[in-house]
Amino acid sequence: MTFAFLFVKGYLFTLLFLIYIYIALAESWNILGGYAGQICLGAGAFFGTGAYAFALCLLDGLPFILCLIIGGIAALGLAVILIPMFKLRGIYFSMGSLFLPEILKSLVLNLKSVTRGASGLILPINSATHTAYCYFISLFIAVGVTFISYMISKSRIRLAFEAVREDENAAASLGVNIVKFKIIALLLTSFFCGMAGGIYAYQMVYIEPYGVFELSWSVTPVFMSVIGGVGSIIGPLVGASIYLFLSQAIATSIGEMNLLVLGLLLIIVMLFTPQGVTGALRNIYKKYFVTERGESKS
Amino acid sequence: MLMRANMKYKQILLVTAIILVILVAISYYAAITQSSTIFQVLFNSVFTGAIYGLLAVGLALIFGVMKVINICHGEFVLLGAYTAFWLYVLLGLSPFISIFLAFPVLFCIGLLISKGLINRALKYGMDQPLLIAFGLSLCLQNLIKIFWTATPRAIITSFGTLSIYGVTFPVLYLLMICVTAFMLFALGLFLTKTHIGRAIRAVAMDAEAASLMGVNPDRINMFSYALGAALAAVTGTLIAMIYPFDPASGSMYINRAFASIVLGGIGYIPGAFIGGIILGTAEGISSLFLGDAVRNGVSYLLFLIILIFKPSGLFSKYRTF
Repeated sequence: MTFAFLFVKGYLFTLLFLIYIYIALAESWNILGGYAGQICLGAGAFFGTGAYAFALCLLDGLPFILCLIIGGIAALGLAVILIPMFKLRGIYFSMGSLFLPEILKSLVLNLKSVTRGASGLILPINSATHTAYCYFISLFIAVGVTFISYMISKSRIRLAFEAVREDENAAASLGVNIVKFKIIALLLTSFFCGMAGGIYAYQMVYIEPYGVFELSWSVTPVFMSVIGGVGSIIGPLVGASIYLFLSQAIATSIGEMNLLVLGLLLIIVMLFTPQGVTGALRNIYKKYFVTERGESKS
Repeated sequence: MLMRANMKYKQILLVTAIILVILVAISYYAAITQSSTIFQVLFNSVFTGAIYGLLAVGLALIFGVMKVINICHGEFVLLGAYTAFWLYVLLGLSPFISIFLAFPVLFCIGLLISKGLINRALKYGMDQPLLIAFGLSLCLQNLIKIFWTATPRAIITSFGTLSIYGVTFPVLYLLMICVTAFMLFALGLFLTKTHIGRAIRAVAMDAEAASLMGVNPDRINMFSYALGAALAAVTGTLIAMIYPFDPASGSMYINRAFASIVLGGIGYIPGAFIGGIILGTAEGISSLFLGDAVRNGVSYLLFLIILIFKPSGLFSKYRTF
């Protein structure tokens, strides 16, 4: 699967590239939204910032990998703005992050001397290595985020995150520095979203503010993690696959209205299985195949 | 009781003092520069602020009772605006008359949404209702786009203007201020004098204690959500007359409304209205001096500053709902 791009050009390459981007976004959102329980509704801001920082650095002639890292760091710098919202309950953070892409879009549109406003940026690419770079780097980012998510799930940090998610007061009274752990989660998420934005910009060759700060870049990470099931590693992977399938099916049938379907699905999942698809499957498994004592039924 | 009256008195005094100081500062500026532009801008921005305030009041009502930020509030505004627009185009009704239609329609929609979706999710925790409202906002936005296309719409009315000392007062704005004042007055009376209004305040203060007193919190949640939606619709019909709107502009209004309630102290209704006026004024004045491009950022900046320096809001001391 890793070398798929060598013998398939075009569609399948785009599909694989997209699924890596989606996995990276969903897994990184899951660190903040799933483990630490802070619902970020503006991941598109990190994504777009990463894309723009990457593009601007690449235009300045910096090496590719450095540009990508700068993209991540720029998104991380943006995340610092959101830190004051952690002083209060989660809802401030959700709302504060919701407006961020809109603000950044108008900022990018108005800073014409740097970003060329609405006319966008065309990236200098090396067409010989473009496909390979996109493929491997996106794969690398996706695997990297998943690996870090796995490391977190095995470490002590995850316990702290879960304590913050379940009950902030109780966590604080047990000596967990809740703001510190929220900030760690936010910084990890923003860094990887920024890197995903950078590689996306490289793959698209041309970026403009309406494209990278689009609402759907904020919606899809939420959607994928929540549909798949938050707070686990496998959930966002499942969610990203479901989303890719849906978006391709929708694109060929009803076109632009994909956000309508996503919104409906989000509502349905939240109403009936708040733990997402993997959570629902786990519940079904427990109900039918495991006895009350925890032994599996034959 | 006495203490509360005393607090209200102090509060009114404080607000009046602030407004007086600002007015004196601005007249001083106008006297130096010999122009009435600043008065014009001030009037327009206070007016815009009153519109934001009316919007924020609905949001604060919903938040106060259900502890849910209603992200699809902006879409309710748009539904109100489109109702007014189509009644105006198809039947030639003035938007001031279509308020009487938009209010009950959105009230019913709000009842259905809270009965079917938000109330059910409330038992799961805080995040689920938020995500449901988010999903709803996406759905409504795209449904509006499907039904009425993405073309920006606007209602053009002609009510003429009044000119006083070189400052132009469009009659439309004055009428709208009357509507806003009436809505707020009616809401205040409703919340303090009627049985159901008192029940709403009781649930906002302590849902469990209220349910022990024989109030059904589910029903009160439904009712206050519907009331918030209806207030949003009224704001929408007013907004339709002054700004162009399209399916994506809902996010702008929820942005302003949320910034207003944070400014005023979240969960405190008069604070939300005053927060809206402060926000509108800040936006107007900053776009006069720094250009119209900053308009979007001002509400965010104010929101951040408040969160950093006074997270509980400007009027948190008077929080009584």
